[in-house]
Amino acid sequence: MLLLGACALTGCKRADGGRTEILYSFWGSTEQMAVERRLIDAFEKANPDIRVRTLPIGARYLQKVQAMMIGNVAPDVLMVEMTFYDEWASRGVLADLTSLANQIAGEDPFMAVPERAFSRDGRFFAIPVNAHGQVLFVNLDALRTAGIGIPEGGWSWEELLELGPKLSRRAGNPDAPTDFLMLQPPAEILLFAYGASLFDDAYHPTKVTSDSAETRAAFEMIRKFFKSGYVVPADVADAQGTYQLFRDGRLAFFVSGRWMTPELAGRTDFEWDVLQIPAGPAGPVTSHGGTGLAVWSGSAHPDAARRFIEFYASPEGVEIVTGGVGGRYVPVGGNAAFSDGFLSLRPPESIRRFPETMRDGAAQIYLYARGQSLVTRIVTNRVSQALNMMGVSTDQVVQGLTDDLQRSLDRRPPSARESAESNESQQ
Amino acid sequence: MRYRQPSRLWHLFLVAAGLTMLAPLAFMFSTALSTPAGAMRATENIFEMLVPREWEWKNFAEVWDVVPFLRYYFNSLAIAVVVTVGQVFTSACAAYAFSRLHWPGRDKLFLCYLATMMVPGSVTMLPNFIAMKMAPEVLTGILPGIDWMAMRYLGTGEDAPLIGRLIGLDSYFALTIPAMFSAYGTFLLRQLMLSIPRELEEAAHIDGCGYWRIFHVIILPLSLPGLATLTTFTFMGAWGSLLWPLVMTNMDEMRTLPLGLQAFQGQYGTEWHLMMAAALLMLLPVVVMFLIGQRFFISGLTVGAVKG
Amino acid sequence: MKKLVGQRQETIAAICFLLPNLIGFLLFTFWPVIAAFLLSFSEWDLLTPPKWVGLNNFRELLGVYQSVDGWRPNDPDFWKFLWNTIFLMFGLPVTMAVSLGLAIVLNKRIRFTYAYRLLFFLPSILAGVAIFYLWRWIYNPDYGLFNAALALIGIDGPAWLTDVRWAKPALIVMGLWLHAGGTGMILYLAALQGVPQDLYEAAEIDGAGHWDQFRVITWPGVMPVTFFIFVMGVIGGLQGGFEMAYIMTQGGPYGATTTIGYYIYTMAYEDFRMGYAAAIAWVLFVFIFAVTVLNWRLGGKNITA
Repeated sequence: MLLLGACALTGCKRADGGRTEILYSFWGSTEQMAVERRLIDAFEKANPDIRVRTLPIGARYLQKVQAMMIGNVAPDVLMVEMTFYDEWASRGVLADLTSLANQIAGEDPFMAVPERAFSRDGRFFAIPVNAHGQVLFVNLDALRTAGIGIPEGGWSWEELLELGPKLSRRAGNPDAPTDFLMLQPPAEILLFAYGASLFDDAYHPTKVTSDSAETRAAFEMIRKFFKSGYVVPADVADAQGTYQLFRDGRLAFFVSGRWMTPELAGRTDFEWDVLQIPAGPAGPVTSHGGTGLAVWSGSAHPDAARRFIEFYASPEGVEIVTGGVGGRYVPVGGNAAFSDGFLSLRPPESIRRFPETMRDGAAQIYLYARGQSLVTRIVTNRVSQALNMMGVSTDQVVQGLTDDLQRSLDRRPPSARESAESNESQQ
Repeated sequence: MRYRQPSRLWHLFLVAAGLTMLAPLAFMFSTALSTPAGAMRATENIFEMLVPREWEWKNFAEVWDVVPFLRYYFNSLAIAVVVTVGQVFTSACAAYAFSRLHWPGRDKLFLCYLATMMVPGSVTMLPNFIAMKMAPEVLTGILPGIDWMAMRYLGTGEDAPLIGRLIGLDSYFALTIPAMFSAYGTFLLRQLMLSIPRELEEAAHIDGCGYWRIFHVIILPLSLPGLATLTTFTFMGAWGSLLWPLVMTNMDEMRTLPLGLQAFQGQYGTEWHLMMAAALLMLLPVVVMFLIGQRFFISGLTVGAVKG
Repeated sequence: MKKLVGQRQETIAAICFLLPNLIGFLLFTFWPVIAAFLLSFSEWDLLTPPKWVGLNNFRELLGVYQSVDGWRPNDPDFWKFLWNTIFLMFGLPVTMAVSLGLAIVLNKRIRFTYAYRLLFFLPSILAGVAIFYLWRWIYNPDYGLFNAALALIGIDGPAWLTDVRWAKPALIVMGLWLHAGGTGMILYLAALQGVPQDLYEAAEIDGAGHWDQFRVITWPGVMPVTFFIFVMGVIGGLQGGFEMAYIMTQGGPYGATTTIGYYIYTMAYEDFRMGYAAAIAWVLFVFIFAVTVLNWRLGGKNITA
């Protein structure tokens, strides 16, 4: 009791054995944890004065870390995802890492997608470490059975849909090799592939631009897929999970990213590969995911945190996280991603499709707008209206969408509004 | 007295109702004693689910290894005891002032107290959370000599246990002090104290006893049923509290049992045999309190309704 | 003169006795109510400075706007979750009926009533996090007790907690188990014991059947208590649902079990929209206040009658 009182007043601090301790938070599977562990071991070996404690967070990562920021106990190093990075960067809770980013990019420049996703008007509040777009996973055995060859340059979305009768038993062809052609393709991919843009500028939106022929064409296509009978209906997907359907050989195609590789490698009894995402009138546009590492602005050990990130992004670090059993990471630097080391990893055979999604020309980034989560919800609601209420015309759906987006623009949270304004005044 | 009904029929009904009440608890117990595979074994026979087929007592031991269960248990117990003692004390004192003493404005203030019982917890929780978040920063401004922001440890060794901040989020202060004041407790005890006959007190007064002496020698012993009721309820409330410690803590070491149970809920499914064993360990003090306190609080329960 | 001095002494003593509680009351209840009111006119994520937004939060919460497909609420979630909260209270009358039934049987002169009473009371005492985990396990579609029991009578039960249609009814059934033997039953027992036994005997001599005895004697006898339990249940129900949702369903599936209480939590501590959360909490407060006032108006008559 006395000890407790004495500690309480004078402030007992734990002896640290002369080492700086930093806390690092991330999400992911046990497998991911093993990869992170290997990297941390290598880092601690190279930097004996720093100890890295890990904080793996399963569910609700964003919320938990933000609660820790509010409670002033947030981790020093934070893994951030493209989609929510901006929420923190705009609030000033991440340290400015522009100089570190320039130093890293000086050796191996970031490819277009991660560069755009993690820079805000030329400043970096996180160092990209992994990014890539979704690609088309294909069941090669099924294609072979149906006698379908893969055309040079891949299919367009229309052409892909027309393969349905040959591949899907649900289309009434009992000799077809699979039950379904694919899952309902992600709406955002079709929207962007058909050239729809929701706002005039994804980062500084001032005007809603979704009421267009392109948006209507995209919604028509979304509906066409849904009505075809070749795509997996919701109840089947619910009952069996989504990627299991592909793994069990019940789908010919599957849209996903590099993170799906460990779920498939050595676990299917058919041959599979990845192809570039099908193209729409606007080209082969896909949606991207990606992670970066940031330093919390309240960190007591910003220098140690920077050193950890620097190691993570170094060629040595990249080799550890991209190789091995992980198979989830795609390097963000052009040299590393197209290096023999990365391209020789198997499976899949065409691993180069992943880094290709990040080069300009091959694919574009998808980002609806700042305040992504709200916009995503609006789009999801309208897509579900389009699919479940066939009586509502596509024109009406697109009008409703435009209406909702306009409202979201009018009543954006003040943080986003302010940063947009301050950015405008800077320009 | 004669029995108007064939009482056997009523017993049949009551036994059936009793079994319905017990079945889920039996299921809990038998799961807690299962092997991991045993818990996840589909069976046609419902009785196999209710009666333990395996006797894996080591589940109860394993619970303590998987997570800092001991720390959670300690936190919950310490917080519940401190909150209970504090709340019963402050409520009894206030109830005495509201029931046995006469002073201007007494009934008006009591009405204010009663009115706050209507306020939903979520209304007061938000400002309390913000206040706790800002307390260390504000106090640093007032008393810069003390490091209010720092986490404290018990001792200086490399694995000295964390005891949180002095005040603010992640502090025992936040987990105990705000829960020590209750309008309900004051109300409950006041109703009971009102029914104590005036004569005893007056006799003591004439003998020259001070108010404090009257309070703890005469009033408190006579309010024992009420105190026992309040003690039981407060303890159970503090022991099972989920939301308050959830928002007030971030550090694992400062969390309590209701939050700690989450640890058995892995990313790839819940370990139900351990979850149920841990849940049973959590219910243990509640059952003990229930058995000790039941004589009192079943009568205490009716106070609010009949006299309120 | 002497009396005046005594009065002053008594007042000072009263203040001393009251002080510990009063300080806590002012600090942790009274001031926060006012602070929450002020907070509801602001936008604050606790990371950037707060901003005064006037009535915006209330407009967003309660207002409507005209869209191409008609008038729509600004915050459709709020109305959906309010409906969920009310839906979950549909279990209240059933629970009360069962409580009354149990109390009537326990009030008969038979043996072991005390033991039965303890047994029935047990679930409501245990209610909380541990029991919610237990019921999540009970509702497990493959290995849970509930579907196994249904299988006995040949019903193939659904995945209760993850099915939009069944999640709310499942929570209501759990509530029945938890509360049927709880406070309500104890209060009914106390009320029944207050009904004079000779009334029944007189009625029996008059040749009144069981139903008539219940209708004419028992029901009026327990009416005030019924009213009390109902009102307390409604007040509790309006605020409730957080723990259930947090432990068992995370408010899902698709928000089917999100109550106002859980909505406030997610707004405040997941989305960190403190001002908006305070606005919802205040609207809830007004609701509860209205119910309580209604209770005084109606209940006062009922009990005196």
